[in-house]
Amino acid sequence: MTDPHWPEGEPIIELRGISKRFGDLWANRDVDLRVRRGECHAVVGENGAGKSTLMQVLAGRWKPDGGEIRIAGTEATFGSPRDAARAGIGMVHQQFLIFPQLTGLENILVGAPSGGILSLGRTRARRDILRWCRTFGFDLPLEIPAYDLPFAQRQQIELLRALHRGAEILILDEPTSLLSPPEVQRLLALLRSLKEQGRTLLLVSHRLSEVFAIADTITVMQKGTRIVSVAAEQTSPAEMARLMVMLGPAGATGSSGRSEGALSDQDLSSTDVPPLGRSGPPYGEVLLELKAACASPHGNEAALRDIDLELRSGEVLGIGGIVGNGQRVLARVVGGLGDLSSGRILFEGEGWEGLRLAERLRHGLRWLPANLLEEGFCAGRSLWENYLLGHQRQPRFQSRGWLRRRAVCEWTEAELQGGGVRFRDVRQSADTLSGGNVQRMGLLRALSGSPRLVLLEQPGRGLDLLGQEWLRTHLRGLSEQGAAILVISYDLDELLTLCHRIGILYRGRLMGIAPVGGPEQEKLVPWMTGIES
Amino acid sequence: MTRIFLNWLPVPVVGVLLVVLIGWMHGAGPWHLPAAIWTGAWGTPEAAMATLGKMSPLLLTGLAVALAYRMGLLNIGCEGQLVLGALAAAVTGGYCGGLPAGLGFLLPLMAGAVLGGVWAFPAVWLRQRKGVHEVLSTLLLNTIAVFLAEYLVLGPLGDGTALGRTPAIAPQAVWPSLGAGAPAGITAAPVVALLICWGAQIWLSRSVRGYEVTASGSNASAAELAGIPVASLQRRIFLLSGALAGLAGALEVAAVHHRFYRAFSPGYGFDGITAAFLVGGSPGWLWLSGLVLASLRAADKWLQLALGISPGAIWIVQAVLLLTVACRFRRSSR
Repeated sequence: MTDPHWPEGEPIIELRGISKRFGDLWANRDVDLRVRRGECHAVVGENGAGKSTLMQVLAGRWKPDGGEIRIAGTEATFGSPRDAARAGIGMVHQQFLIFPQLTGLENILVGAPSGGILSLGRTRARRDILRWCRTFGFDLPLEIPAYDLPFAQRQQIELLRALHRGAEILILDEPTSLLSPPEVQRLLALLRSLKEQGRTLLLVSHRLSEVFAIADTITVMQKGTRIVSVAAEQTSPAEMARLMVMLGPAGATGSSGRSEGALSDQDLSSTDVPPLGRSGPPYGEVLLELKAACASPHGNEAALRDIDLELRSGEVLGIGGIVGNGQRVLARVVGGLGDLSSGRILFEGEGWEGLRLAERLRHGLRWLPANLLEEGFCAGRSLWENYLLGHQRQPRFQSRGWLRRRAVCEWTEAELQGGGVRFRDVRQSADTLSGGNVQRMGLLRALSGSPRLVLLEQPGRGLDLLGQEWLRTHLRGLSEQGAAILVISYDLDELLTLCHRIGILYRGRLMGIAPVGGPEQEKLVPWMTGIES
Repeated sequence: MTRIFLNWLPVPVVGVLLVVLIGWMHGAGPWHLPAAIWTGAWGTPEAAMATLGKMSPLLLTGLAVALAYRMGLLNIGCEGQLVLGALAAAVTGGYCGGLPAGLGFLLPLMAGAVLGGVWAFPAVWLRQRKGVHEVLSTLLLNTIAVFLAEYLVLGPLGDGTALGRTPAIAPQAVWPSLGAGAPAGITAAPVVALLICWGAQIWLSRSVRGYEVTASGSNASAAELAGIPVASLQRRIFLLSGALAGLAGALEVAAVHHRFYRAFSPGYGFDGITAAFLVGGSPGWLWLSGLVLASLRAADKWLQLALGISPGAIWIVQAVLLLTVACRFRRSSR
């Protein structure tokens, strides 16, 4: 494919005709890409467009089935990530690759050449890393096990790992998907300073506002091929958004609901999507109620302290805040995996204390967990088996304890197609789905049927623009049907587009709840940092 | 299917070639060793019956391992569960003399299954309450079981001779031979074991509970969020696994030996691990790995007779063959 905006200047990375196939699915097909030295090059596209695969080919994770990679003019073949690291390429992954039982320092040094007699090399490395931390303003504890660290710091570990190995080219795959707004700003500032130091950045992102804040060149991918590469100043978010979806929907299957005309320019630019729309209080009767609820901490999450909230039928309530301020504890309490230490939780006026998750599911609860791959996904099992999770006890899918597999498969197929998930056969392994499609599947599963109370953690994680639009429409539909929806997200912009009201958790306390669009909305960001105002 | 065939077939061929090579190094003709294995296992009706007779403990211990593995647990303790199950069946069978035929038939089997399950319980309790990995606990419980059984048959439960065995079980508890005439004839035990395996396969792949077991084994946290009671399911499946291994021992007593004696099991509990993993933990295919293992096992004495080599050589052959067969589980580049 030709285009007029082929970047000029000496390319440090040149991909020629890269192809990568997984089974019958072409993740990349004949992709050319040129990245200039010292630029920030963003790769954007829909879920399953092949962005992550292309980056992983470049980082040595996958061997391409065809094409060549040239680094600074010489051809390179990467048999492993170690080869790519030797060529100066480091990657920060979407699913952070952290060894939870190792300390921060050990995580950074893992795989790096030891550089001297054991402890000596380690001391030197430690000094280097502390210097990096000072330069970047990281407040990273190096000596505690990584499972205690919040996402932002896990990401810092990955970044430091790449830099410590001397990476001149940094690949960042969806780096902001788990960060709160202040953390995003800090990351962008950090990336700018890395660029000033002469490093080349490759950024994969769905968030066009961030892409335009930092990228010099933007490449659009679709269905595994590169559509166009343009200089950022010569284009606009709206144009990019149109390009990402222009040539028709990404999935040949499951595209029924989409057409080009359905989305206006305004809808597509992620910076000013219209909010869900308030039908105005009162919404309906109170479905979920927390009264002076306290719960003990979980992992590195803060304990809940005296939470009072009401969630009404038809309402979408968002809970925001910086990672680790008690959001997960709240989710576990509502879901039934965590107990209250004091206070009450009521559903339709009945006490839910001591009611197990399975029983809450029968009352109409649905739960999309934050880390879908770890908490809601059976690797290696088929699509229908994954989709059935949580629905397996429904009467329509069984007769006297035996699964009605035909019914399950037909239901799965219809739902996944309706939701625009790219797949061939519901019997195929769920591992073949891309990250964004897995998220879509998880969302579809949680929103399927007629739930009464939906608990969504990080629902927009890894979703592309069409996916986010679809999510908004779907939530609106559910709320009109009278479901109560609790959205927990670290992304305030996402909450603003999805919710009627937003509450902020700070150190386990609910700082307040503000209606979206009202005057109190201004307080949300101060609340996140604990300022009462 | 064709892909499995293409992926799988050539590797055992390599295994057979290696076996030929071993035989050659032994001084025998190139095909003597594999031919001797074949003749030893299937050459005569008696040999075939003996081979088939070894199927039932392999199938049941294989199923015990496969079932626990489906739940994400490793039951390395089948040997101990089998030995104690056999002892329980032999002792119970000894008291079945006055009972009606049907009850006398079932009681020893039930006793074996129950004791097998009881012997599995500490492992799952230690795992859930004390964080002891079940591989360690079941392995240690094996040792206790084997030597506890040895003490019991030499002492309190022995038949009074110095042979280290229990009295023979009552005739009501004995499984009749199917073929009239053959002295150590074939019983229905292998068929029953095979039906149990297929039943388990159907249950796992077709029932809601079986689906929940598979999901829990694949990702326990995801299963928990789907409302599946993972911990209690783990307990139940592990006890069932132990019960199956105990049943394997009880069947050996009721159908083959009609009593318990010391050094009862030639390692059926450990062969069960091999049998289960050779077919990727899929109970429906256990008959295949069971047949391979039983053939190799049945041929060991014949090797000594025919070729004059040590029956220990069969262990080498078995290990070489099984290693190559296991190669089928390599994943493609993804």
